[in-house]
Amino acid sequence: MSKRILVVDDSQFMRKRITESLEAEGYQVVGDAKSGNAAIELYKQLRPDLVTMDITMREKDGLTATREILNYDPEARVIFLTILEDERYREEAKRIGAKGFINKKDLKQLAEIVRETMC
Amino acid sequence: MDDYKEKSTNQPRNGSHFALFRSSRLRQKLLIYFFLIVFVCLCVSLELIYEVGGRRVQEAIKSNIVKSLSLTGDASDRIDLNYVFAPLKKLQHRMLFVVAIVIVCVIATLRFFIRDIVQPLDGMVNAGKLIANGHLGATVPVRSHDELGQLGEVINDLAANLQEVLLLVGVISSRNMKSVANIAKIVDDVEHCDICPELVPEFEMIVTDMNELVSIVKSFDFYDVVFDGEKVVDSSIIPEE
Repeated sequence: MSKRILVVDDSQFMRKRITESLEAEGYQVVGDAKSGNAAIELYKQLRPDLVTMDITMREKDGLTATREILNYDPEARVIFLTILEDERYREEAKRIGAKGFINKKDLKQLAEIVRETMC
Repeated sequence: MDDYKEKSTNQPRNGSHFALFRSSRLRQKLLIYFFLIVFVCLCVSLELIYEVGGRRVQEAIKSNIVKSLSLTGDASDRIDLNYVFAPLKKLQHRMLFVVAIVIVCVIATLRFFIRDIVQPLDGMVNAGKLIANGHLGATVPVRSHDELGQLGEVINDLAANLQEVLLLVGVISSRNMKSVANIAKIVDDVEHCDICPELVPEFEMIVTDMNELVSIVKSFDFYDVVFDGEKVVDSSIIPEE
């Protein structure tokens, strides 16, 4: 059975790209959300195997949403996918328990990191 | 960037008594239409109310009573007009009350119309103008899930998409410029490794175009982030110039 993934990004264009990239590798994107609040709700409803999370979003940012998801489910697997290139975000992501941190310009690495995370 | 968010919000502050009269063309037109409706209602109603209680109508009614009962002389003078026309007076008062209620309803409708339709539209227009000017941090406040709310969300989504694409273009262009610079450095460093002279203008054109792309992306204002020409950073930690 293919792994179920929730895609979170405030840009519809980016959600589409991430979804296409994951589906091409055989993963099942079970839902997408454009804000941190929607991501938390969907996570509770869908209980996906993994979440790809943007950081900068217009309602609730990805770091806060991830903290809440991990509070709800400490086993949640979250990979950050962001355009921000600041080491502090990478460190913060690691500190709160994210499984990965990828820059959006390196989207090709996503499938590989998802594969490693799922193992 | 907060300024742009603030400008695009365009919602009345709590306690503002002047929200109804803030000018936008749509708001002005609506005010004119509603005032016209109120004016026509008032004119027609007041004319009717005045006529109902007027001397002409009373005289006509009195004359009809006298004729229909074939009253003569003293008998007709003994008719108590106040008593006879009391129901008409009551009707007059009721009509005034109804007119007052209609006016209150029209003003309430106008207020709801402005709050639920004109203000969201104003917000969209303002945000649209800011986005068109490159301020992608502008957001439309979405307060309902009707078509206007959906339109606001679509504008926000368009801005988010545009921001994402522009930032990707910026960082990828910057990375490619670095690659070209690295190629040039390697060619310079390695002995007897001269680049084919025909390729030099091609490389220069690539660098010029990449620079142009980077400068286009830098000219935009983004939501919560800043593109510094090389990478994207949180706008709260912008390095000092």
